[in-house]
Amino acid sequence: MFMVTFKDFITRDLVTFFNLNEFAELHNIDGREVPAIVDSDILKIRSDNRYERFDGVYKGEVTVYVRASDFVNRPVFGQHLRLDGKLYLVVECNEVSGVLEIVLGANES
Amino acid sequence: MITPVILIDELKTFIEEVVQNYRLETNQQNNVKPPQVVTGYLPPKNSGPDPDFPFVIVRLAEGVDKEEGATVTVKIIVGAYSEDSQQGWRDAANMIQRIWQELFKRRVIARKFRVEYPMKFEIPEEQPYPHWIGVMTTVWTVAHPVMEEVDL
Repeated sequence: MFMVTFKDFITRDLVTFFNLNEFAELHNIDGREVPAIVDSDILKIRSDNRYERFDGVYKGEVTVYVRASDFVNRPVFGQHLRLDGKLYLVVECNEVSGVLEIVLGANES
Repeated sequence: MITPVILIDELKTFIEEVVQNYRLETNQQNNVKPPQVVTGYLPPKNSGPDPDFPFVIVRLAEGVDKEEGATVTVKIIVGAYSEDSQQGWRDAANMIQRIWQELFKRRVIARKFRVEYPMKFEIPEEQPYPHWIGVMTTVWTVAHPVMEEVDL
């Protein structure tokens, strides 16, 4: 007997999640237009550790959700990634049920 | 007067001349400029168009007064910007090299402040890419308060 599993539902829901008329919007990631959901940009001081503080620099962080299938290689820690023209470094990248959750950090001035 | 605050102001003027011909990257495309030289701290952040980087900060750090004389330590913090990780640290190091060279070629600035050995500099291993920081630590002879005879 054919059983539809929870994972099947999640995979099916990805279509809605990344539908450009629903949640996702096209974002330019490393020169390619990719449907993505970008979580709010959080600006904060670089660190509470005074040895890691630098004059004039603060840290911006943003989380991006994309379909794993839209990427040939999964981004790795420290990789440079340009989101909508702005340069970030990959802080974290998790893959869950076909979705990549990419945390990006930027030192801004 | 040979006070630490006047030293900082004179050092700012001196460094401005030393770095005026530099053309360094900013975080804006096609905008290269000499580093801004500021005393103490960078101005408060705003959303204006002027980038903070590149810069040289002349910062009074500490002082020591002994019987034989008084000295103050001045940190000269250089900041460069480059997405090219082979260029950014070089820009910071070149600024340090240039200031170091000009300071120790003369030893005395504004005819009254003498820079002493040793001079130290550091380019921290951890850098806030694409910003590049270097720190020079310089020691200067300053006025030494002397005891006055007072009638009680």
